[in-house]
Amino acid sequence: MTEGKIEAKNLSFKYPGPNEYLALKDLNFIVKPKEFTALLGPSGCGKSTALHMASGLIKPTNGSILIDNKEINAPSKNVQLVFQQPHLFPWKNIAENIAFPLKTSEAETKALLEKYLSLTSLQEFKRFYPHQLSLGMQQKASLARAFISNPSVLLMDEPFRSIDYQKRLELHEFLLDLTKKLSKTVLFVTHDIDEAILLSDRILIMTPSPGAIKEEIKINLDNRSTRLLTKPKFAKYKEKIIKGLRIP
Amino acid sequence: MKKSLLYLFYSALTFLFAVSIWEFVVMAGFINANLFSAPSSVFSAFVEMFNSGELLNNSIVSLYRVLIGFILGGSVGIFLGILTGKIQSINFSFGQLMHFLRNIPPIALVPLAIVWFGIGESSKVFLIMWSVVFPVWINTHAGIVEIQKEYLWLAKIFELNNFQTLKEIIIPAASTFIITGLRIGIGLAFIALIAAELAASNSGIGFLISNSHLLFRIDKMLAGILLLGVFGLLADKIFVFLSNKTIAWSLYDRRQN
Repeated sequence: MTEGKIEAKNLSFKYPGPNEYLALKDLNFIVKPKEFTALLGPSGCGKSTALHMASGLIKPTNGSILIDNKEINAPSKNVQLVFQQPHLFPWKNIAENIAFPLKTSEAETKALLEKYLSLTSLQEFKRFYPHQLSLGMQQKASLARAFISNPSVLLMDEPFRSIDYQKRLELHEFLLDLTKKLSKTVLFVTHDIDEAILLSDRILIMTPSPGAIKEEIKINLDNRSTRLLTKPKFAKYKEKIIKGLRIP
Repeated sequence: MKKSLLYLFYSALTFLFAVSIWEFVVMAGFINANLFSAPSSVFSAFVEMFNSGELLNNSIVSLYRVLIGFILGGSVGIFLGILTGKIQSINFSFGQLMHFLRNIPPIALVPLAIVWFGIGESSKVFLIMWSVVFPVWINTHAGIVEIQKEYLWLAKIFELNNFQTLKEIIIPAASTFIITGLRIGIGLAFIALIAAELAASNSGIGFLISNSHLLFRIDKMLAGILLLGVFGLLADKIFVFLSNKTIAWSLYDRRQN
């Protein structure tokens, strides 16, 4: 598997049609291999559009997006996308959903599945159908489905947006643990400042539509956990980001 | 288990109640028994036809026609639904023709089907197929159009080819719609069967009813008509049972049918 460097070069996207709309204009950024980067910005600034282009699902109007110096033209298993909603296949049980991307031998599939069921603590629920699980558990399974094929890049489009605050904190801990164990390049879209500081190595603040990078903030936090949310250092980052987000 | 037994008990009780009222009304002379036989007479006719083999032979013929017409119509309907649901140009052209054709009631085609295919099996199977194709097509089409784009995106991300996407994503995602179409199709198949058998046939339940009419055997006519109700109900129950087995994941199995 490759390293997982993401590079956006003068990326622009215009939604076609009678209500033509420029979502992104000259977006430039680099995500280093194994780095957790958050794209933070107001709703409608084109964060998700950038992510969909990075996954190869839509093509940029101008500019290009490269993964490991290769231009992205089509979706692939190497670049996994996690949506706002879990989008598990309702006709498959949890184990079948998690193992869905695998094309490995039966023994290998079984071993990988056990590993991810254990990482997500979903062993007991492997025979359950998605609708029988809470939204948080479903999103855990969806993350496992994205990680299981060992991609070099993970794109996450506000995966915890629809989850209540308390459960979201639990899922933050879970994702921190998962990324620590399975070091991956992650591009994480969010408009939640706390979430961005807690999870990321670097935050790219975007301008309102048409979105472009306004500011870059490096986050240096040791022993990341939700306990940091109340610490002064966390508050300082938060203040800096709020200033950065302010519309000029 | 307890609940389903209770459900069966209430259903049986309702049937028994309806039959008792019917028997009473005829026996008390409120209705002319020559025009509307009592359930006891209908039952006797039923036993008579059963013993002579008339009932079984005609039932087998009718059920066979329904089965063949349903399988053919269902398959064609699903295939066309996938085509119009997935390929916009086909939907805009062929789909419109289908919308026109689906408004032609199969009963209107009975004389034409007899001219084309004769009074043998083909005309019956054709008419049943005609009845089944359209509800299955339109439901399959709707099911495919309604598939969330994220499922199709995931198919691309997981690098599925067209056949795998159809098998793994599109058909399962549209399956509740397809099953609804097939279920509607079963009911319509029986309607088309009887229309065809009443018009021109020398076998089947429709023929039995029509022949009994010529002999003025109202009891036999009613026995045939009631048998159709039983067949329709049984076909629907078997279908629901089988679909619950295959799409246990959906809400379908939690509805009371």
